[in-house]
Amino acid sequence: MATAVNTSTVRPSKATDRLQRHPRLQRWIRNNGAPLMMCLPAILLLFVFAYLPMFGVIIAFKEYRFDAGILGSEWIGLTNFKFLFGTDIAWRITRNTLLLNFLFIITGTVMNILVALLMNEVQGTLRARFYQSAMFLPYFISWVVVGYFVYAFLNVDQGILNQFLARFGIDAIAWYRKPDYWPTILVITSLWKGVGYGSLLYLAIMLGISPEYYEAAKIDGATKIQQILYITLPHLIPVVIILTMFSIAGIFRSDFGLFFNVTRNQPTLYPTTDVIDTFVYRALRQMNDLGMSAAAGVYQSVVGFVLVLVANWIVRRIDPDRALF
Amino acid sequence: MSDPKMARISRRNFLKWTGTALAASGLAACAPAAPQAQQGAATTGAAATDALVYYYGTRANFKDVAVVQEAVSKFLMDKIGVGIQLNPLDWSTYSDKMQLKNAASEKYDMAFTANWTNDYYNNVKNGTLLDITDSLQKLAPTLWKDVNPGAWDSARVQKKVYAAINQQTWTANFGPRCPKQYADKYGLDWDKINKLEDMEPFWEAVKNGEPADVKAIGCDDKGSGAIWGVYYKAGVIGGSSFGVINLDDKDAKAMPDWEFQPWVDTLKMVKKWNDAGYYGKEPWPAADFAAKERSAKYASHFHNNKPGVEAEMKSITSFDWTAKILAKNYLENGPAATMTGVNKQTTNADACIKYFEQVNTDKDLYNMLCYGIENKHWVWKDKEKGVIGLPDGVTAENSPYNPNSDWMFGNQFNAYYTDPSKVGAWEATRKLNEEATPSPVVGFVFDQTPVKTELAQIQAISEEYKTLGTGFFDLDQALPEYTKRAKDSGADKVIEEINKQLDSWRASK
Amino acid sequence: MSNATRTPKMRSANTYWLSNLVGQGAINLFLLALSLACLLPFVVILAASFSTENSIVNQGYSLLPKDFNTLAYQYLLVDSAQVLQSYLVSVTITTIGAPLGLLIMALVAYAMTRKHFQYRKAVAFYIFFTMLFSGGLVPSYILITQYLQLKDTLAVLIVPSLVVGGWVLILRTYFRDLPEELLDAARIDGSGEWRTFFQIVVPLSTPGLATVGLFSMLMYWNDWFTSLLYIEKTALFPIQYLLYTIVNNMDFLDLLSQQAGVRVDPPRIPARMAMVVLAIGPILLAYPFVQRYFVRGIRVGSLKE
Repeated sequence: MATAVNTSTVRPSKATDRLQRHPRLQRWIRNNGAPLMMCLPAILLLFVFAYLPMFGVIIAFKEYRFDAGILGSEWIGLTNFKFLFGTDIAWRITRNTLLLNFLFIITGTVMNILVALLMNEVQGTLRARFYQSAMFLPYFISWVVVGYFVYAFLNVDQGILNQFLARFGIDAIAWYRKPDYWPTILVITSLWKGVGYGSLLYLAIMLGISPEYYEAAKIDGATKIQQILYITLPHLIPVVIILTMFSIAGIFRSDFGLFFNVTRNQPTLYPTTDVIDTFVYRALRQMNDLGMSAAAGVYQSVVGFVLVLVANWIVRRIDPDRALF
Repeated sequence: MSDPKMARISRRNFLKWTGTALAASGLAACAPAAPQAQQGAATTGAAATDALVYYYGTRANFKDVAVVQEAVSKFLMDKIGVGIQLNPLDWSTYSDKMQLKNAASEKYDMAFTANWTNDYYNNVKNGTLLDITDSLQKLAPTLWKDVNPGAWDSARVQKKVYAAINQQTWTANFGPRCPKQYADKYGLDWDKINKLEDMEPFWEAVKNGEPADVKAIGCDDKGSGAIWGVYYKAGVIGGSSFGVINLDDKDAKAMPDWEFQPWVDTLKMVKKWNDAGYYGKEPWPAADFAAKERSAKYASHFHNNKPGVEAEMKSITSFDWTAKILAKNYLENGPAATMTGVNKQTTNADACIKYFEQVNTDKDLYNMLCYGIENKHWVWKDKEKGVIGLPDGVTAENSPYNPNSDWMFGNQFNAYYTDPSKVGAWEATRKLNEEATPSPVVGFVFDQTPVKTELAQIQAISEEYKTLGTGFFDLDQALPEYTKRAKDSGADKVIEEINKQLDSWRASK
Repeated sequence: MSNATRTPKMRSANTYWLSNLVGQGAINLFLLALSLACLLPFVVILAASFSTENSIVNQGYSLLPKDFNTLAYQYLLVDSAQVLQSYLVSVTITTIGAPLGLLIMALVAYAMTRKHFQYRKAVAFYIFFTMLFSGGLVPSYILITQYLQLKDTLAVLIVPSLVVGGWVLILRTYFRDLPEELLDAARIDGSGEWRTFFQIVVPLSTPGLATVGLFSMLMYWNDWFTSLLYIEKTALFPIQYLLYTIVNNMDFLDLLSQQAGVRVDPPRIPARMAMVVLAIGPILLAYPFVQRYFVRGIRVGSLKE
């Protein structure tokens, strides 16, 4: 414990004699001591709750039997992964997952930044608070309830949208049988639910930008748009990069609640809404095979990991400071 | 000073402090069942013999579980020398929680297991359950004799029994049920209805006579309202979600459903009904179905019409019902729907079996678990006929003990009736069970390990066609498509494997 | 502080004033429309929670309750002592977990921004890796129930989710925005890393800290999954998990009543709506206290003197 006390005290004047005889060690402690102590709680917590259980991924390569346990079960190589490949579904879920996630990343980023920019410009605290509180509400509404509402909006007989279209002489549309509309519907639902939460991340950055930048720009005669383009947006780039990295890491995963409840799991919509997570759910619901579901998770992680490594390498080539690691 | 050290210490203290504060607050006392036995089991092992740790499902957290536990324990102590620790888990989480416990080889003594929750076949395959074939015959002889041999067969995996069967309705009793108002209005005469097609004039009359929001045939988008396999004599194969057998063929072989002509004919028939408008434009969402039913928005619905169903439906919808069974009576895997298994980790297997004997033969013990303590949780309405009711001021909603799951604890035919109109239903049900023709594959359980890749893919594909059974598909296009996709995923290989296992099972019989 | 928030109003030229008015009008119109799109469904939820299920299913949703009744609430709140206890559990885990988690995450995030800390990239990778790979439920379950013996404890609801990898990395980007000169000056003045962190970094980063703090609060408040895995004692059920079990048990009642005697027929859809209302309530009360950091954040400039 003695070293711990020493390392956290960065005053060189108080270093002990022993340390003074080892200048390299001394410098190491001065540079890394306090930061390491600061990292320690998080590192320990993640070690216990994230890294220790991680050895369990070997289940993906085993025929897991409850009584034999993780270590005792038989190795079966890549068998558990096979169900993810080789059908016409494999292509469909890969395409849908990538395409929809890509749509979510783009629309989400644009929408969240736009709303944050506007929120930042609102004069009047009361109004700003009202907007912000209202936009946060959808976050609390479970996907199940969102699914009810979407149905109330889109069902063929009494749906609000069809009744509205009828006023313009447009025939009722059976929305739940028209897969082409659904990427749009999912994007709108997802934006609506996430905008309050997502825009905060950007607003927090904007609130931290020093007003001096804007004052100087104003003196130079910069318009509002120019200020946004040359001051605000550049400040947002690091957050955009990091959030995009997170999305790339999860590019093979989907928000199961969104896909399952909002589409009401209607098979007619699968051509555009079936994703890896919904497929795995369907395939394994009755079999309960832990090895196969672990395999699906490993597959999703590995693809995300490879893509992130590539993306990070690219970012580091452009600007080392902005790379994730 | 070292700050993180401070932070760690204070965090630990803080947690400890709040934990104590919560525990000390009187509210914390509403936890059921002090887990003393669990602690005992964890430390010594020998002390575990005090109480059998028993997991099962519950529809709500009942305050008086501890009261019932004490009474039941006292009863059991006198008879078999152990107490019981009741661990009810919410039905909505039961299966997930039990599968995790089993996957982690957690220690407990008994648990509810079935083919629809905490999957029996999966538990057997994974070595979670104890083989109790011999001990049941030795230590629970009355129970063993009371359940008919065909039913025990349906619980067998590789000839061994891994759980005690709770007797209840085992047969499908498939047929249409109708709100009486529509049956009367359009002159539905059950005597003239011997197959579903005979309903067509009735449906046509309903469609023409009722507003559009009343459907002639009610169904939802999860497939409820489709015609059950038992109606066209397609039998299920234990342990496999794919493939059917002909229930009337003693030497039946497994085949994919598209090769089973009665299924294809049924789909065509249903498609015809759908085109005629009996199902409406869209199936209702599953979530809306109950409300639609209560507002009499359909004129007929296909379901399990077990004895007493009319009274039961009336009790929730408050209008009259009429129903008929239209399928031959088969015994398939019905008994596997309600069983109690013994965990392999138990140190007290014999006591568990003795408990099964008690709970299935002793009416007092059994009804205590089902309904609680006399005069506290229930009162006699008609002791002679075995009818009970709730005490004054207690409702089904606010009762401190009302699991409403008699079939979960043991032999349902020993249960008191909760509604006078149901008196006699147990005898009628028992008769249906005993008259049932066993399926030719009762007792066969498919080991899916060799073809699990194919089976998973086929499962995902066949779920896409689940609404075939309510006619919301273009059959000419969908059926060949389904066939081709399933074949591409190895359907033939799966059927071949099932038949291989089926042959060796028959050979060893 | 007042300088910073009022700058837009200090424009003097008439054209500025006019374009500002038009701009403000457009901004407010857009945000108002968006806010209504988010608010109205909630009004509908509130109304539906006081309606009968039959009226919702047969006549659709509306902004005012139809066949006003409180059955859904009666159904959810039938055991009021348990509901209070569950709120207490939720409040406890949220008020302990969120600040503690924020502190731990902020510390590691700050350390990673220090240029002289030579392992900062390694730590970042160590943290990011946990976002990608997880061992799955069974290994975690075995670890937590058998090795750590945390089943049915308050700690299991708090400790495993104290550190969320993504938020650490987001905090790091916020801290990187702080003026480097300020931190270096503090270092030259002899301020240790700990003091710099608490006395300079924390006060300057309130919007970022408040954002992650709020997310962490919401995570603890909304978490029912941890309880599903590790909590069996009803005394330790958080409110979200309690409501989750009550509402989801309803889906099983049909199945049960096919077998059992009496059919219990709860108001399924109104109860789901009431669940949203009950779970959101306390958070809405707490929200304004956090919110002031987002609307009028303490800006860097105002603290400099």
